[in-house]
Amino acid sequence: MSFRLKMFVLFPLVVVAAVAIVGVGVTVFTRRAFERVDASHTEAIVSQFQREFANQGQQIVRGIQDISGSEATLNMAIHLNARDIDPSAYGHDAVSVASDHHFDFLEFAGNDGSIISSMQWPARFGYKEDWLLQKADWPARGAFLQKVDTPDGPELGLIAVSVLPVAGSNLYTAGGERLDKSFLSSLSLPPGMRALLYVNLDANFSPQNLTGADGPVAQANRLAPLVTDELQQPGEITATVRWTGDAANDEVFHLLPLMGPDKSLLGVLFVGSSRHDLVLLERSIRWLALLVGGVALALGILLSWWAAVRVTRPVGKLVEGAKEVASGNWDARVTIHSRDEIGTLAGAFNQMTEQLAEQRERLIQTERVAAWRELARRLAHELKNPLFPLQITVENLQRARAQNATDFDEIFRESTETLLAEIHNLKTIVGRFSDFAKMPRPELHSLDVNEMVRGVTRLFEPRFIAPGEPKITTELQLDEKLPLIQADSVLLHRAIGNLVLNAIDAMPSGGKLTLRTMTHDGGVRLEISDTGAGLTREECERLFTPYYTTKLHGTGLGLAIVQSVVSDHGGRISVSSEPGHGTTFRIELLERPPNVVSIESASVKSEQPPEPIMERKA
Amino acid sequence: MGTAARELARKVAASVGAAIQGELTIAPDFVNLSSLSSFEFQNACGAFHDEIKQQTQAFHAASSQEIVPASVDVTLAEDLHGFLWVAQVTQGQSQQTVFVSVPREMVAQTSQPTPSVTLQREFLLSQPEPILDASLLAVSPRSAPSLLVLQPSRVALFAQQNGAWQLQSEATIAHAAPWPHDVRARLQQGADGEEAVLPGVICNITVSSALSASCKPGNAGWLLSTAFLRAFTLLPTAAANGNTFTFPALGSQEFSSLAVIAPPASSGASVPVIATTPDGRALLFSGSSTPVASFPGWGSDVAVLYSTSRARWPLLVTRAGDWTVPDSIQAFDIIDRQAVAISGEINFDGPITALWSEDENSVIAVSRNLKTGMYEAYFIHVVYNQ
Amino acid sequence: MRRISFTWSTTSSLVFALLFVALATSAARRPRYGGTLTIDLQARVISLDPAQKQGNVADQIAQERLLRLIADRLVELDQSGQPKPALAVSWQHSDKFTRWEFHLRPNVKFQDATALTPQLVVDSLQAVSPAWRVSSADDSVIVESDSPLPELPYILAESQNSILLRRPTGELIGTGPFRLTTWEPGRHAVFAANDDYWGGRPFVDGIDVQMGRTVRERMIDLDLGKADIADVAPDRARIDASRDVRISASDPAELVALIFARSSTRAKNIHIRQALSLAIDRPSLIDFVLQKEGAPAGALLPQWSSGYEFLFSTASDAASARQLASQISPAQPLRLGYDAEDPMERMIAERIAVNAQAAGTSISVRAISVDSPSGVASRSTNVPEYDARVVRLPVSSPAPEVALGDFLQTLAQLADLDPSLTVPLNDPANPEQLYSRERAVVDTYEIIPLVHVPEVVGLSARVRDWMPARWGAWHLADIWLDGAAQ
Repeated sequence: MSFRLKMFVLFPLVVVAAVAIVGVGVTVFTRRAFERVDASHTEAIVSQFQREFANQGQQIVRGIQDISGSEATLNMAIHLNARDIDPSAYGHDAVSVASDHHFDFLEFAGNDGSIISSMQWPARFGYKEDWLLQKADWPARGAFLQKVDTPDGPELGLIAVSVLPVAGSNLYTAGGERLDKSFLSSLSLPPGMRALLYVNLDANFSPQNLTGADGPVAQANRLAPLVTDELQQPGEITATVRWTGDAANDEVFHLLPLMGPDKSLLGVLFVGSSRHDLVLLERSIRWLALLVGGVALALGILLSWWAAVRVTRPVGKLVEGAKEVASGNWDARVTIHSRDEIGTLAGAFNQMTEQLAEQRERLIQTERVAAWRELARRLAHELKNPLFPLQITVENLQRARAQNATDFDEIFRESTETLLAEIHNLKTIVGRFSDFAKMPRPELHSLDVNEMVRGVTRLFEPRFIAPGEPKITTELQLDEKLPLIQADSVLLHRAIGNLVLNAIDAMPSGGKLTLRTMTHDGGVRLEISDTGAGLTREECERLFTPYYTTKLHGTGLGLAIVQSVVSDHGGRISVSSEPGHGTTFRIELLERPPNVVSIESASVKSEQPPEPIMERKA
Repeated sequence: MGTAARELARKVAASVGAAIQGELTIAPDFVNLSSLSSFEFQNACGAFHDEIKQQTQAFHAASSQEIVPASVDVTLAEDLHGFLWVAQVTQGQSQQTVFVSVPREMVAQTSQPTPSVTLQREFLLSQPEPILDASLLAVSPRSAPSLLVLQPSRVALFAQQNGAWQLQSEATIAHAAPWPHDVRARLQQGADGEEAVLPGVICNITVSSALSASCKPGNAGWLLSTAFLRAFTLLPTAAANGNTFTFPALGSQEFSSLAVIAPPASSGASVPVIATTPDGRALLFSGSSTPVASFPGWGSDVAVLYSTSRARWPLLVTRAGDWTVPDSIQAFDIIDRQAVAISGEINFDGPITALWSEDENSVIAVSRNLKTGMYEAYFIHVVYNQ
Repeated sequence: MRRISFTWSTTSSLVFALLFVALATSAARRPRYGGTLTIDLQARVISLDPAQKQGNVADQIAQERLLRLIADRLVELDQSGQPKPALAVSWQHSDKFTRWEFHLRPNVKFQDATALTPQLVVDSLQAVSPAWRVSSADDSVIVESDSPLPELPYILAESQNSILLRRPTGELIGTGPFRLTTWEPGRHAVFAANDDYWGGRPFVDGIDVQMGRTVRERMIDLDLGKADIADVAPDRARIDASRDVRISASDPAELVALIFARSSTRAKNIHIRQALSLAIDRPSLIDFVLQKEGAPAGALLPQWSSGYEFLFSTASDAASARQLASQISPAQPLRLGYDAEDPMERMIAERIAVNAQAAGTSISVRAISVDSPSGVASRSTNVPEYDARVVRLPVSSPAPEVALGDFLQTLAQLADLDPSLTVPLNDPANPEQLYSRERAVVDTYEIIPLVHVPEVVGLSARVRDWMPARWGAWHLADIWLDGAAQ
């Protein structure tokens, strides 16, 4: 990703992030505020419900006590207590008494709990209301929730009981009001809130047991899990119910368990508060954030484009300049008219390239001089060696001529032989330099590197085992799956031969020579390792410099030639060594060297490699 | 009606044949749901009995079939046209029902049965002290009988002089605990002569030259007749006041009196018992602790005229009411769990305070005259009209 | 002997003296003519024509009562339910009861002065009972039938066999003690005494009948003396009696029963029906629902009519019912219907539901509207919305054989009754045959008798000689109004 693109992206991102953070922050804050208001409303409704509950309960208790204490009830109790009085005459009393007192439920029950008269279920006369017989302090209990059986199924009632004891037997008056939607409608609710009542009278959740102030609740089944939770563990629960896919229709319910006197769950009061307003506000905040974000994004894009263009154009020029310098154009210059850091940077760049160019020029000259000196030193050294015998021989010859020795002829013959030999020696030296000067361009053929390695090894085999020579063992680790490569067999043969020679020289007291081939990155890698003294890091670095040698005798051209050959093949040569642990040369060749003309010929492969360059020890 | 009952018996016999052997003579269940009087119903039932006996005997002679026990419920009902005899014969699992219709006009109902007994009252004596019981004693075979009168504090012996009973001698009854407020006691024939049985005390009465009473604590069956005691092995338990008792066979309620009203139909069969309770109810029990009938209007005192010779024992019954109203005594028979008056009423000038059977044909009744305040003892003799 | 005769004379004089006092205090005297008898009925009679059946049992009974005011039948039933002469003065039958000859009362006129002739009687009877061959001869009417008709006098005593002249306008003219002067169907009817009535002019001048009166209206009218006679629901009788209203109750004249709908699949299993029958606590229905008016019913016919109803058990056996129910365990509750307009039916239905529930059978109670003229169920739709319903069936005749025949006819229409059970009996007067037939019907449990209910009326203080038949039939021509009592 370019610097300009980075600049271009970063700026809008920062803007969007800032808007998002503000949006989310406001939303969260709003939501918390809403929830606080909700909670306080719910609390108010619950306490209102409880107050209403207590008020109604007191009214019911008073009403039931009135009924129980009335003359008519006393008469009933007295008559029922009398022997052989059948209670059927009172069968209709509960209905009329209940309507007088506006009760939804009223029952009179005898001493054994059997119903004498029932308002809510007249047909149940004679059956027992066992719960009335529990030993309870009814006046102290006041009004309580009770499941009331009716022909239409059980209902939930707020019930009070009064006992009228007459001559040791009790007449129970139990009655009260239905806890239903009319009770709910007595609660005053703020907008957006509603109260629902679930009457828990069946074993399982049934939707018709859930009523609101307006009657049945739509989609009541959605509240079933809450009721189930409440049934399993009664307690106050708060939960959010998603009515539709739209979150605006969500409703938060606070559940208040309504317990009977025996601690059984008889009902659940749902106080629901709609999330509608909150969600709408959240949405408007979100939309506002999006709008602001969008505008900011557009502006940001424009700004960042402008800024990026302004900032990155000189940088781009610098990059171009740097690339040119890298490609060798040391004259590359950057033209930036700016007084900021970029301008200074451009100035420094230009200055740097100028200095670099100058230094390079100086270096080249220095190196050239050094090379010439080295060459001159080498040349002088090489030529000096044969020259000295020449001088001696010529002087010997002159002396013998002057002395006119008898054996002049003999001396002459011997001297000329020596002179010729030394001259040949000189020619060889000169030839070797000449060879290096005219290293030919490789001619490429398909070449089996393994085969070549074996050939080179075979060539040196006699020398490894010759008496008087250091004892060297060879080991070939050749990858037989090696691909054929395009290479000049003569040049490569000479290069490998040079490396083997080098290795032999490195092991004057014998050792082990290992040649390895392997496929490498689509090409071939060849490693030649000795077990000689090894090289220092510095030696390694200078190893391939022409005319550098660590040997006492040598032109220093061997490895330079090797590098030249490898380089001409588009390959790479490297050395790794550690003093005392031998040296490994590593040649990596491509299967097909770039920019090298390949001459495909089967016959070339079998061609005998040329004689290796042998460095003669002085 | 008897003809129809006989026809019914023939139908029953024909429908079940041998099965009704013997069973019917033990307990055919007769129920009268009709307006026919109990008296006539009883007569008709008798006719049924006779006929079924003849039929089964005839059948026996003619058949050697194996006998399957059967039970027969005979009901006299009434339908639109008249009377309807219904017999349900249950024989193992099968049940058969046979009917005999009797057109209404063919039944000449007698309006009221003539009383089968007449009650005659014989005044004994009158005194200001309460009389608990009285009994005629033959002190010596030749002399005229004496009258032994049991009072709360003493026994007194009266002899008849100039048509009136005159006090001869008396003996004090020693008792440690005070008597109940409405003490009841009776004289009965003990192992060693006459005994006075009072609440918690039994006295042996010796009548020789002078009357003497030797009393000791004792409390067994004092209100119950020997017939009653014979019928039950498990005896009643007296209540704390000594005047009432509970009887395990009849549940846990308290009774003032218990009387077996008929001899058991067979050994092992349950005997019908009339019990009166302190609150004035008279209940009929028959083999269980649940009363099968109650007789409103009866008082707490019931005396039964036990007899070894008669199949049915008349009951002499007082009327309901407290001791501020005059009482009367009437004889009843229990037929189909219903009380059938078999005599007219004898009225007294005050409440009956004691009523004990004296022998097969008479009872002792003590009434407190509301006008004079005197206790009057009477013999009530039952005279059978047939 | 002298003493005895003296005793007798004193006793008898004492008796006479007491009788005199009694008569003086109860103001017994000769009947008084005049006054208009006002009657409040709950029922709404739409038409007096017996061919037009009324809505429910109360309407049906009211129709019969009003029809009896204007029309006579050949035969009447006396107080004990025996046939007595009416328009026919005597009758004979063939040995096999297939031919009956009724001799007509001479000099009887219809209310429009048309003379009663055998042919008019034939026309009237033939219109109602096409199955008979009715013919006239001299002064008599001959009824012939292929099957024996031993109970024909009872049948002819039923209201539907009233002798009527049908005018083309639809007007009905009878020979009865009253003639219709005002007729507002379902609301109001006024009858005037028929001065030429063959049985003698009735005591009251007229009868004013208000129909469709509610319980409350009837009660107020009785209290205020605005009504002389008002029908009272049996379950109200005790309450009304406690308010010093004169109450007169007949012998049980109506059967309240459960009938299982023919198409009900839920009650197909007889054990379900049997379990329900065992579960029902009939005595408490009498005590509480009917406030002691009525008797538990084990059979269709009441005891007073058949004489053998006691053979049918009315005891509830919740344990057996529970056991039966547990063997079947029907998947869905039985639906028990009741006439939406009849609070007594509703109460009975609810009580049965409670009983059944206690015995392990689930029942849901529902109100249904009755639109069948027979007053007993059958919705216009084919599938009824109930499995069983409470029905009120009038005991149509005091004669058990006639009443049972009518019950079975109704039952055959409504329930899945074996057709063999409606085949006429060889000897219907034979109680054994009647009993086995009724036993067979009851044992199918297609009908569960619940209670027998009397006809109850409230009377004002001025109504005298109120002597209805024991099965509830009114004799309004015989009653008179005490002017002093008003």
